[in-house]
Amino acid sequence: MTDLPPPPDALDEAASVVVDGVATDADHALVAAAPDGASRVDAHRRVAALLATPPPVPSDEAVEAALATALAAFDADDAGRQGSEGKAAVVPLTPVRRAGRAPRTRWIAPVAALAAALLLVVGIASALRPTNRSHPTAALSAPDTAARSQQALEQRADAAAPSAGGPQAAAGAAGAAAPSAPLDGGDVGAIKDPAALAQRIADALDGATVDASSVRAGAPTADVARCTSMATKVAPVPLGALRYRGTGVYQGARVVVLAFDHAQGPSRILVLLDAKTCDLVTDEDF
Amino acid sequence: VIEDAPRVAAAQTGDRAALESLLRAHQARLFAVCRRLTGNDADAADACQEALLAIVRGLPRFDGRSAFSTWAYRIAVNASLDELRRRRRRPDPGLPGDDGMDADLVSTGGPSPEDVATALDIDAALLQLPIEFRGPVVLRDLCGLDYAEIAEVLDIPPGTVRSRISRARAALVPLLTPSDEAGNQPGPTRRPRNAS
Repeated sequence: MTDLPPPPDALDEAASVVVDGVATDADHALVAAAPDGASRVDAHRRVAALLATPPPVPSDEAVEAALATALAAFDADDAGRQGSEGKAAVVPLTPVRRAGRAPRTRWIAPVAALAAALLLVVGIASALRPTNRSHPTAALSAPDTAARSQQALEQRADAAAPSAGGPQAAAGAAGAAAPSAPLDGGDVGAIKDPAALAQRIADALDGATVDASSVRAGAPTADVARCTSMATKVAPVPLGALRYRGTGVYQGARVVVLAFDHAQGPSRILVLLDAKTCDLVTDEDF
Repeated sequence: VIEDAPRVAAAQTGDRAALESLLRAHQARLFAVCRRLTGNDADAADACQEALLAIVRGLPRFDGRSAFSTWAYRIAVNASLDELRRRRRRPDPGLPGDDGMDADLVSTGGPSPEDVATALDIDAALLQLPIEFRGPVVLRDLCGLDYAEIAEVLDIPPGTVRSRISRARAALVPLLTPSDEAGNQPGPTRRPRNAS
């Protein structure tokens, strides 16, 4: 089936390291001295370029299923470690399988299902207890870690928010009372100019805009919750209170839009994060 | 570009969002490695899935002595090797390189190298190589790892990496070169002898 490559050849090896940019003087000399040295380098370079071509990518559905399976394993393990305090397991409902092939990860489903059932009971019990659910993250349907992390982040951020002297102090009535929850912006659509979006958000936060509906509608999505919890890790500066959250499309890619007070100083920062990876796309002080 | 270290550290403490972000950031590259090593989507999907699971389970023990990406690549390569072993044990429906593509290559005449590579399929060409040669050249040319990183991933000496990459490329020259050009190739244009 497979063929052994040609036996070691000094000129091929020299040509190959020339292509890789790690050739020694001796390698260069060998290539230069050989009549076909240059063409051998070209041949290796052409092969290297072809191999650099990325293979076909799997479908988004396949990617999401693979990630969900991996995260379900994490949740199951985590639930096992934490007992009844464990987190909700995310079990792919429609695992991608190929016909005629027995899934080798079949043990995951019962383990994850067991963990999910256990946590469902805990979740129902928690839900039946009277709690204060006025926080915006209550709109999230799943009690996932990201949402809880977001709540914790916001609580920390809110606690750190300046009560006077910050942007709220200079704002109108709507912004004067430091809000305990960020403004939920929903989907703001295509974002052409982050600076312009920052200004719209500032107007909405400070109550200076008449029509702020375009930046203050909609509940936070799972992407928003997930990326909010990551924001403190990817933001270029220390962050204060979360003031605004939403989603949009920037340069053709789905992004999470977050606005924070700076941890120090009166200004704010707008960050756009890749909705899939939560990597920082761009930021804008305002 | 966000560094892996903070996300790895967070994921190791149970931060699910950090783990998801980490997996999302690396999934495409891991799949690409599995795809090139196994040669088809189905096996690559299985290998990549196994790699992601192994990463999740092994992350608490990841000590950070190597880069996370290096560690993840090693896992993906091992998962692909396991998949290839399994494939040998089950009925083979036929591989891309077994369906007369060499004859097609000879009969086409005139297309660009890119077209030939597409027709022949880079995967089919790679499958002509033993896996111990396929790994180094894929990690070098597809992933951009340097020789030292490849040596760490594959646990072989850097000198061996250098030798295997050059031999692999030399073997691929005639497989990925149009027939009219191949006749003029100064390199090793002969068909490598069959290993099996």
